[in-house]
Formats: sequence, C-alpha cells, structure tokens
Amino acid sequence: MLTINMLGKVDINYEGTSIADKTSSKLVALICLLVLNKSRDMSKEKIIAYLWPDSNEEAAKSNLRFNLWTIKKIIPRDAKGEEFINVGKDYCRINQKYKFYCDKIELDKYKAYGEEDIEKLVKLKSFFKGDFLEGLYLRNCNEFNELILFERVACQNRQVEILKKLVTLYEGQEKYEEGLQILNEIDVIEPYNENFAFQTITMYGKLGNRAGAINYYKKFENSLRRNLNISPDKELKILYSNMLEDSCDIKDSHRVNNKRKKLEIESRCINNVEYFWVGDVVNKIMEKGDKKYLLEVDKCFISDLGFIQSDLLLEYEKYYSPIQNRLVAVPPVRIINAFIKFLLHATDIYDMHIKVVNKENMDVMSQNILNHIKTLNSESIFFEY
Amino acid sequence: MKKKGNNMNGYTLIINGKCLSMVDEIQYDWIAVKSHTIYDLGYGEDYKKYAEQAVKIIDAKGATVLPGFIDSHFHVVQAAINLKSLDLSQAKSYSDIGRLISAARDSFPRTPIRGIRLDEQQLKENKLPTRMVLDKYCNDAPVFINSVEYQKSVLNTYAMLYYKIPFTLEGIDFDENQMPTGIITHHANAILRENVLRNIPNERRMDAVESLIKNIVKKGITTVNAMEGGRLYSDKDAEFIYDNFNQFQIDIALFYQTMDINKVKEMNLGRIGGSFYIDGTFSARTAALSFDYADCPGSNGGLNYTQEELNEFVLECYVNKMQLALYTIGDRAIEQAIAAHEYALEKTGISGLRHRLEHVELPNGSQIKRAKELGLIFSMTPTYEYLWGGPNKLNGERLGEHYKDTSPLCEIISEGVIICGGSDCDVTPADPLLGIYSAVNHPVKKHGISVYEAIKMFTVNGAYAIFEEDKKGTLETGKLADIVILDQDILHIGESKLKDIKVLTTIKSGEIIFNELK
Repeated sequence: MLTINMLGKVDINYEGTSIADKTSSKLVALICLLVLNKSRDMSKEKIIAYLWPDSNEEAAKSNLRFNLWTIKKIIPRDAKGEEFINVGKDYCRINQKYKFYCDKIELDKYKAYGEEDIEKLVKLKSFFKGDFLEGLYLRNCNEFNELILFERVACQNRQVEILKKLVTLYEGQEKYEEGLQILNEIDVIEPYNENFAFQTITMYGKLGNRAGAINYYKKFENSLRRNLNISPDKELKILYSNMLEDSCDIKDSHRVNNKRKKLEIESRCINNVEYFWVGDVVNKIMEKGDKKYLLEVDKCFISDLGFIQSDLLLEYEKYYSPIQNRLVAVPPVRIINAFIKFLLHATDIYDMHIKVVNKENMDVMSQNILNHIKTLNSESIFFEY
Repeated sequence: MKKKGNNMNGYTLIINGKCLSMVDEIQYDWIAVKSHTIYDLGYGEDYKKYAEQAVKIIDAKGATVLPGFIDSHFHVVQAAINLKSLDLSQAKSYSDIGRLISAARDSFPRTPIRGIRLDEQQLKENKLPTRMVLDKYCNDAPVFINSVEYQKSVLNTYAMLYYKIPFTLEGIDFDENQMPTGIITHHANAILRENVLRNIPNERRMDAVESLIKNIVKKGITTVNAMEGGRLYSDKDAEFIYDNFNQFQIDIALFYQTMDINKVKEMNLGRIGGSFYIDGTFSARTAALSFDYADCPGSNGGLNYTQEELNEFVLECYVNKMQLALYTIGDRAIEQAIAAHEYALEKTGISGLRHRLEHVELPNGSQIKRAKELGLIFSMTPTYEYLWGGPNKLNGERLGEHYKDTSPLCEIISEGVIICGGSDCDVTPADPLLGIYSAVNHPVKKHGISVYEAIKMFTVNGAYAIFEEDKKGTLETGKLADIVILDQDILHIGESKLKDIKVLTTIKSGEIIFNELK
C-alpha cells in the first residue's frame, strides 16, 4: 500500500520502497498539496499558483503535466486497480477510491474534546517524528510555504493537546508512571511551562517519589535560571517547600507509623573476589528493603558503592536520574565509608539481621569491613554466621 | 593553530626599548627571551653578552615594551561567531536592513545569514521588521536576526521553516490571521537561540575563534578570560573552549557561566560565573539602581535573584572553594552581591578565593570599602566610559546626574581594591590600549587614573585575577615571555593620544605571533 508520512521529513513509499527519494521537491510538494486537499477538486490554476507562481503560463502548465505524469508512473495502481490521482481538463484530485495511508490524515481525524481512548492517543503521539514537512521549502512559492508554516503551527499545537490529554487520562486512571513519561515528553517541547512543572511534581508526589519531585524541581529551577534568568513562580515554590517538609517526614513516618521493622537477609561470600560480601549485602538489602527509602542516602555514597555493585546504580537510575560520569576507580576508604553510611541509613528504620553463609570464604576487604562494623556496636545490626 | 615553542637553543633579544616591568615601576632597556620564558633583563649594552647566540634581535626603537595584555572579560565564541555575522547596528530603516542582507546574500549565495545588533529604537519604522519584509530582500536562504541585546529574534520565512521553531511557547508573535510574523521573544527566543547556537558545528566555532584570535593578537592580547555558556550564550561554547583551550595561539582562561557547581567541579575549573547576571544593562534599563532611570521615571531596573537565593549560591561556591565572578552593573546589584559575599564569608570564614565582580559600573563609597574588606576584585570595562560615559551619551540619558558616579576607577584604586580590565568583547572592541585610554581619559575627570595604573589593569592585575601572577603579568626573569612592543613611549606620548598607539609586535610564550616591526 502507498504510505505518505508528512510529520517529519516527508516519506512516500509504496510497499516499503521509497518513492520520495527518487523525486524532486516540487513533485513531493504536489503530492502533499493534493493529499491536503484530498476531499475536493483542485483547479490546475490554483496548483500552478502554489508551485510555479513565477513561471509563464505555458511553462507552468507543462511542468504540472509532467509532474502529474510522473506521479502516475511512479505510484502504482492499488489492489483494486485504482489510479492514485484523477486528472481532468482543468482540475485534479486524489482518487477517493484509492487506498493509501497518510499520518496527517489520521491526525486530522483527532477531535480534541471527546477522545478518551489511550491506545488511540498513544498511536497518534507516535506520528510526530518531526515538524510538518520538515526540510521542505520552495523558493518563490510563497503560498505553498505559508501553507507549510500554517500546518506546522497547527501540528505542534495538536501534538501538545494530545500529550496533555494523555496526562489527564493517565492521572485519572492513577497511572502515574505513564503520566510522568508523557510529562517528560511535554518538557522537551515546553521546558519552561510552570503548569506542566507543577503537574510533574504533583505526580511524583502521588507516586510517593518525593526525591524524584525534588530533583525535578531543582532541574526546572536551574533551567529557568540559566535560560530565562527568572525564578519559579510562588505556587511552584510553595509546592516544592511542602515537598521538602514531607521528605523530612519520611524517616519519622517509618519510625512512628510503621515502628521499626525487621530486615533479615542471607549473604554469601566468595574467596579472593574483593568486596564480594559487601556487594552481596547491599544487593540483598535492596531486594528486601524499601528501595525508595534506601536510595535516599547521599548520592555520592550511592556512586561510590555503585563501583562495586552496579545493580545499585541501576536501581538509582530507575527511581531518580542516571549518575553522570560513573567512577572508574574508587579508593577503598570511600567504599568502606559509603557501605557504613548505607548500613546506618538502613538501620534508621530497620533492625538488621544479616546471616553470613560460608564466612570462611569471605574476601579480605570484606572481612576487614565486617570487623570494623562490629566495633561500631550498633544495636540495630545483628550478624549470624 | 597550536602553540609552538621558540627556538630552544637561541635567544630572542628585544633591545632599545622602554621595558616596563610592571614591578615597582622598574623599567629595563632590553629583554632576553629563551624558549618560552624571559631569561634576563637589563640596561644599556649588557644585552651584547647574548647577541652571539641570538636567533633574532628586535629593535624597539625607544618605544614601550609591556607584558602581554590580559583581557579579563571576553565572550570568545560569541565574539568570534559574531565576527562572521552581519552587523546591523548601523541600520536605520527596513531598506538599510534590506540593503545589507541583499549584499550578504550576493556575497555568499544560499548560505544562512545571521544578522546581529539590530536596534529597533533606531529604525525609522520604530519596530522590528516582519518575515514578510525580510522575504522581500532574501527568500533563498534562511535569515536569522538578533536584536541588539539578543532578547528578540526576527526570521524570514525560509528560516521559520529551516530552524526548529517552538510555536507553542510564549514569545511567538502571531498576526491577525494567526500566522507567525517571524518576530520571536521571551521563552521561544531562548529556546530558538539555544537550538541555533547548539547546531553550529564545532569546526565552524574553531574557524571563527581562530580568525578572531588572529585579529586580537594584533592588539597585543596574549591571555583572555573567556566568559562562556549560560543564558544568551550556549553551553556548547563553554565546552568547546574547555576541550580546545590548548589549541590556540593565546591563553584562554575559561569562566563557565552556570550555576551547576558540580559540573564545574568535575571539569576542575576552580572558578565559576562570568556574565552571571545579577541585573541587566543601563541600555535596556534593566540594571538595578537605587534611583529611577532619568528617562523612565518609575523604573529602576530589577534584580534577577532574591538575596536568599544569591546567598545560598555564593555560600555553595565558598564551601566548594570556587572562585566566583558575578555580573553587577547597578548599585542595587552590587549591594546584593556584596551582601551575599559577606554572608558566605561569615558562614565559612573562607577567604583568598579572589572572587570577582564583573563590570561594577555604579558602586558607592561604602560598597567599595566593603569589597576591599572582602578581598573582592573588580573586573571592569573602562571602554564603556569612552563609548557611553559622560552627560551627553547613554549614561547621561539613562542616569541623569548619576552619570557622574559610573566607573569611579580612581576611588576604587585609592581604597585598595584591585581592578582588572576587560573589553567585554564584542560589546566593546578587543583593544586594551583603547581600554587604557578610556581609563585615563574618564569623562568624569576625578575618576580617571594614571597611565601606569591603567596598564596594571590589563597586565599584572589581570594575572592576579586568575591566579596566574606567578607566570605572567610582569616582565621578570622566569616568567612566560608574553610581551608586547608598542610604536610609542606610552608614558610620555600624552594622555589624549593613548588610543592612537599601535602594537607592533606580540610575543606569546616566546613565539612571535604578530610582527610589524621592520
């Protein structure tokens, strides 16, 4: 089937074989023009005014004739034997019986108010591979260029409408992860929009990801500062400070509401593999504990521990943001310090019971660290061998 | 254009000069350079002991020889790209704009045209042209025009379709038919500028910067402080300088204009800021004043940060032991910056970081004293006074009688605050001798300084302001051979003729990079 994609660089292909690549810009423009006017006859005079405004009448008519002939030649009839274009004496148009697909036509079917089908909206969203007729400009064809500009504005507005609608629908269905993904896409188009920033922070809040909300706010604030030299508005600042207060309450809520929980893990050792036991303990704590809380330990400790346990970095990236510039080497003292900080952070809400299987195989570094932890005499960490 | 070493085995001798060492006003007759550094300095005919092994002897013919100039505030990439752009500052009407655009189009057919410095106040139509107007003069290449302070852009239709325009953002101007007029401001302008600047390939940056440097070495500049990245600029510029700083004929000290302390720490720059805008400009009436603008009663500019926000950031710089350069023009902005430094110093007790205030156009007496207490350096642009100072130019127009208070260089130096000099290129020309002239011939006589003090701004003080006084800024044995030979005796030519002095030779790290001495 013939496919015409106008959102992004124009792509016209028949059964997957590109046609646009083999044709001139004027021919591509002619096809697009006819598709945009698919439901009506276009007078040849009008087409000439769009595409050959500065040619004399004879030359323009000849150009149009040649291009219509070329279209006929390169675009095959459809399965039912229909031609793509009907050409009359003074007019031409797309043959309404000809079956073809065009992203712009599909997009035009979208009605802003009333569409509630998420799947359909996600499909529409996927059409936007770039600007309308990206890269196309016809010298001296002012009317045609105006048409592109007009459609480009309309398409961008449509894109934002669709994304906004999706956010609303996801929020209504309490699908906050999906909602945040869409808000991220909106952020690329409208990076300084405080309403979207407000929605993003609120949605992080609803997900219970306060750190995510705080990180986002800082990023947003930096971008306003850097590019516009302004601060976020008052409403957003209040939302942020509320978020900060809530964040401080996390530990307390764990303590007060949930009381102290018991966290039991079973750790393993491998001889001669440096830090194996330490890495295993981190992994097991992450598996069984409240990941979101555990990852709130200072980012630099996550980064240092991530040197020996990359799963920790992956978890961190899932919840927050990628850690830039992963470390290629970390001095042992920093790994030890980071591990202790991580354990102590965990003991703020947990009583830890760490069972060590095959302790005799524990590597030397882990052994030293274990000995050091014992000297801390923490009442919240109990080791069993 | 990589730096090359000098002949390692021989000497380059500069003789018969008035070699101002910029140390205790000591003046030598000759300098012997070996490899990258100054090997010896002396008097009379003592140089002859090196003559036999000299690969080059330069006769300064009794003119002044100085340390290479340090321009302490310079937008390298922006200035370089602008040098290759179409200057519309003289356009007084749409037809002027059209004439210039048509000429550019004819010189480089089908090449995107970037116009700069268009001042709508200066146009007889008193408003920016629309894309339709620009289309009349050029419709076969994208035309992208920036207003004088980069706050607005105008594009022809080709450019509207060529660049990625964020039509849904605030700042796209639409006509009554809901079609974009081509005039872009606010958020949309910020995004558009960023997109356009980011899409400039680094080869073009390199080409532009190399051309720029070829020009500025003719003015005796051997080191610049590059203020790059951030608002109105592009972070890609800062990264370009960071990646290529050792590829140029002169030294470039990068100031990254960002609030991202962690990023700057990772880059090991040790300094942050530059044109880190606490306020705006006199010209746009956005500089923060303690009084109303004379030509716009009720308006006294604005601060871009709350005191609390600035305190927090400055404190973070102190804690991270990072030298900070803050852009301040009006007295309210200077007050806010000084208060933030006082706050951070009190909290941390950390001193010696040589923090800088850039431009500092309107400081009052008490602020100068407090800056001295804090050890702040003022990085100033005396050429502002030459271009806009005095009662009958911009400062008089905007500030009324307060024009008398701008850039009080003499008072600042008397209080003991160190001033380093810059051009803010390309806001003013990259020409330290013009800067020296402007500092000496201040339109408000009492603010003018001696020629020697003015030279210090562009040499020894410039080196101090980037922690490089151990290797440059003076003519002393062991220091880098960054040397400028003038065509006159700068101390005796007469103050009014300072700007007519020419640089004849520029030597960077022992290599002659510009020479017009026969």
